[in-house]
Amino acid sequence: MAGPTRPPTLSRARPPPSGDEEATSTLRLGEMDNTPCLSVAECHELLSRLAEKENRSNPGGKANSDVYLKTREYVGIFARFKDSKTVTQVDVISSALLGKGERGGVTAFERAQLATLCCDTAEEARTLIPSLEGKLDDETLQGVLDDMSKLRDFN
Amino acid sequence: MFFLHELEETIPLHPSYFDKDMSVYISNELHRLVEGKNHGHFFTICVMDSFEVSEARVLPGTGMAEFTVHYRAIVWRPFRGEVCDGVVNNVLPSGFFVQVGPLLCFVSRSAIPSEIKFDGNATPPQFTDNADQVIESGTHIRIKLTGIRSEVQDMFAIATIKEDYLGPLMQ
Repeated sequence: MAGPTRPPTLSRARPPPSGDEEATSTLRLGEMDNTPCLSVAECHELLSRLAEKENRSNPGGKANSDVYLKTREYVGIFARFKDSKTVTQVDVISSALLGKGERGGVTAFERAQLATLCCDTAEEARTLIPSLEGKLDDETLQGVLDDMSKLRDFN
Repeated sequence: MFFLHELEETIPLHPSYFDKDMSVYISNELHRLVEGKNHGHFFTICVMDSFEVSEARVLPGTGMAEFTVHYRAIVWRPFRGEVCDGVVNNVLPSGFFVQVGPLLCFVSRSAIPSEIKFDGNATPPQFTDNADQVIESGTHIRIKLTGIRSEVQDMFAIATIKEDYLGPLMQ
């Protein structure tokens, strides 16, 4: 029963997902650890621009998937900053936190969560994003949250 | 959470497409193959750009050519413990369903604070604490994911609102 033998693979196999990825008090994002994160407002902006580009190059458009349409609807509802200038400003404000603080500093994931959830108080932000605990002091965090809420679009 | 993820896909192309518009065909095929698909742990929402298309490899016996395309896509991946916002789409006596982008989450009655009770006599049926918190179909709500189950081409999650700062959004 000696069939053809497979040649040895030259590339290292991708490690399988461990299945214990989580975003609780410790962040374990698996393969997403070093991937750039987008807040909902940034995603809204990016998807609208891509759709615009697609419309220009191919009017009439392609058939969009169910997942795509649901996501467009979702980001339309929950994008807390709609204007592209404001989105950039919020990005600048929140990116200033990256790498700051204890325990390895604020990560891209926490930055995007802060810009998505738009908390009112530092206490609230720390409860909703438990991995922020012990990274930033109250004043710094509160300052950033206040700056972001000033830019918020309540329409 | 939305990510900008770099991925790789192998695209087979029929010999009738080997002409000057080949790169367009490859890009259309890439969009058709990966957009809106669930790759086990995440949903690919939209391909942003493809930045590297490999040399073609002709498959022995068929004449089809195979291209390896590296591309960047917007993906959405939920994590256990992540807080996200969603829209309630179905209310049952045993709990309610929340649509978070492409993911459907279930919040069971044990994950709802005890003062928020089911009221089946209201139209539409709702969960309410008889004050300002009303959860009915269409309510915007903030939930925390507690468990995620992946299936082929689909995902389901359970979530909770029995913690501080979770529940219907007031603004």
